[in-house]
Amino acid sequence: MRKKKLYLSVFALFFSLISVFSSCGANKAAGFTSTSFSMGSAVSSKVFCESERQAKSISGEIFSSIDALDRLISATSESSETAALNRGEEVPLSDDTLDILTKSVGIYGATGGALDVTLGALTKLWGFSSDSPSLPSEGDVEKALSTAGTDNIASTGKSYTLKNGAELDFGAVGKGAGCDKAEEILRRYDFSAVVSIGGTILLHGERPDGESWSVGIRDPKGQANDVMATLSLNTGGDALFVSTSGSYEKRFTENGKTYHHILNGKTGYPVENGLLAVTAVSKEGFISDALSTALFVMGFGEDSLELTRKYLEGAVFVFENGSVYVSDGLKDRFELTDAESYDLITDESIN
Amino acid sequence: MKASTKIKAGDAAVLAAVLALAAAVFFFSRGNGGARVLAEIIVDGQTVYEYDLREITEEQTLELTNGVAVEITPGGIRFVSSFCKGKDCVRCGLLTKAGQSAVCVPAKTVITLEGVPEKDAPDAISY
Repeated sequence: MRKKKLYLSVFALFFSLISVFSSCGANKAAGFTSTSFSMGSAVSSKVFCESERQAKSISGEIFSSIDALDRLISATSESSETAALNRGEEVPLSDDTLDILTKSVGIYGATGGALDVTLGALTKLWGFSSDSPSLPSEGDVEKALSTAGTDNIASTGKSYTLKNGAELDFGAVGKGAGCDKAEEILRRYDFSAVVSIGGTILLHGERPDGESWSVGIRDPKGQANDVMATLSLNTGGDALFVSTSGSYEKRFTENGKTYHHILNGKTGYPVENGLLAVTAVSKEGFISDALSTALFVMGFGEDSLELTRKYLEGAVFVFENGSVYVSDGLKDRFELTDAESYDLITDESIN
Repeated sequence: MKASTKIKAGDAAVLAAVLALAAAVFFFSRGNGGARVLAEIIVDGQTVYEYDLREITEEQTLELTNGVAVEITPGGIRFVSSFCKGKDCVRCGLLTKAGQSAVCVPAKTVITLEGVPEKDAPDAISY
């Protein structure tokens, strides 16, 4: 009798141990990832819930919402409201397009024109969104620049039109606005999630294991999966957005010189100010996306730091010489993982 | 008569064997020194190929119908050619760690390594 009890206990112990070992090894933070394509980029959505079917369903809603926004604001889609405006038509704008246009005009003012969505003629001229970007002539650059400026946006009641040949390009804010749409969907559910639209990140809710979310900042000198630093971010149960603008994306070389896609609205040519990348963290996707570009265009200095303090949780500036500056809001959340190639610089070393 | 609470040598041996067996089952189920890593090829949101990297013994190249070619090796997965002009996907190189992915936007193709990421792997990469 005693032997039988013993073996029953041993049997139970065996399965208990298997269970304990397995739970130790399992990643409780694992979620279900879905991928799609929109806004000229890969879109991924990782939803942390128990049912894969529900995760896929939520991700499907997110992708649909981003697609719907892209159909409205894409400059390259013939049927979009933006394309109609760019053709010189008078367009009654949807709430979503109007919201993005209004915010863009506000950021144009706040950044002294560093973020300018009316540079559509110039961005089209360079062709960075096409398969064959090329160096335009100086005359063409000058002509395209002459069409820019938010004062070329005219409103006639509920309809809008563009004057002076101006064209819109929401490329610098679209992915952030798309992440805002994803956040609207996720607010309806009680699950944490990570959404990425071409490297613009939405962190929704708490990380399931209670730890901080970890967002890698791509190594501008490395390959796509190489990370030079990480940000440990807590959403406080809400949402945070991380965007990076860098000169390593969308580039071409002509006559021995490399040209990247972030254009200076004052010169018409790619920005050259010693920066390789700027990462911006905000509670709003539109802002993180817009400000990462604007700060890159403005360059590092008191004006860009003032904007960072005013609009962002913080920003990271990566310079061509390997220096890295982290603004106050992110200093405690930043870890340099590639200390061989990069050096942190402090306020003291700048002053 | 009160039963003895002392563990006999034979019982201890059985308990030790159970502990060892449970640990062995656990580690064996995790594979050869690490978690299972699945190499996935996703085209337009649909998984079209899925490989357990532990079962890959030699390099093999897949020519996809959408004009890109992907190489699977025992150590990872990578784009080896693409019709696109920029070739950003090819420049991503070999993916070797769970959680890594590479994208060919014109071909709407994603290659990714699914599995339990390394402890310090980020949840996402901003670029």
